Amino acid sequence: MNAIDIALVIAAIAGLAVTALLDRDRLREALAIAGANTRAVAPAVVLMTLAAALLLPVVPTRLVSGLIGPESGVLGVLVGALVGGIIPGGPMVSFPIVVVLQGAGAGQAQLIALLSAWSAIALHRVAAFELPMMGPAFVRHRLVASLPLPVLAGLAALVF
Amino acid sequence: MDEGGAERPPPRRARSLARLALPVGLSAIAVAASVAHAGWSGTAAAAIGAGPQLGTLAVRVGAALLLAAVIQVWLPRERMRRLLGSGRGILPLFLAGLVGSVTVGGPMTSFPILAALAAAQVEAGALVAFLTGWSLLAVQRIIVWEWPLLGPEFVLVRLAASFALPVVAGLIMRALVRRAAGGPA
Repeated sequence: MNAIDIALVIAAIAGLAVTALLDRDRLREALAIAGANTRAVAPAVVLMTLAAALLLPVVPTRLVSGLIGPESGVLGVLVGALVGGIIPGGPMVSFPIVVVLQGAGAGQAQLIALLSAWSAIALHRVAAFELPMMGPAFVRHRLVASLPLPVLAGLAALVF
Repeated sequence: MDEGGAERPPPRRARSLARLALPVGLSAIAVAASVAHAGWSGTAAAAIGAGPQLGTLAVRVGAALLLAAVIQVWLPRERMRRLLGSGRGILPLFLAGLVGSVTVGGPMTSFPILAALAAAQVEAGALVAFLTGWSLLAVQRIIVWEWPLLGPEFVLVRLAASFALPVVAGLIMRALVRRAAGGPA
């Protein structure tokens, strides 16, 4: 538990308490929504957390940092975007990887493409949250709309 | 729900099984890759090592889902729809991206809010702009992770390179939805 988690727990309790005081019907509605969402995402979140723990040691960080060095240019941006899209897990997984890659000599624009792909495309999040809550039609269009973003961010960073 | 429409939702059980297909498939790939890389004992050790993480996650996900549900029942839907839902111009997309970037609490809050905005009939372009603002420009993640770990120069260059992307993604989404609906391009 870090400070953010504690703040989150306090905010949730405070929100429920205020809702309970002001409007019992809304409280019942909120609990029903929370229950339905928990049933929708819990199995997927558990599975994806385990998958992330298993995949992390398999990612060959040294090989990747060689491919996305500062001299790797546009190709490195594309590789970074590709790798970022399949890094599983939350920021406690992705940021340590990015720090390792930064230390191993990866270029800044290439790392920006990688981090952007991890945050904007994030296949693990699609599996755990987006698909269960928004349905396949939205996800399909959203992914197509998001695919160019990491490359655009990386290319813009190359110019700076 | 559109009663009598051609796309009637499948039964509940089938739907929940379909939802699990991707996580189950990805987990199977992860197990296979891990066994090939570290053997069965290494795979078991890595899975057991994820135990404490699951405990923390249970608290985090539980609190976030409750908070999101509270936000959802108080969300001024009509106002959000008027503010973000017009489907015209880039101002609603910019605003949706801004709302996304200050949405705290991870995917367990952002996706329920996204679902609530969708239920309030906010158009798909603004939904994607919200999601892109939340994922690319999340203020919370920048403060907690990116600034301390990667340094201010990295953060500033990345923000300069990304600040317009929620609008870009929203415009692409609008075009995709229009095309899928068979309307004018």
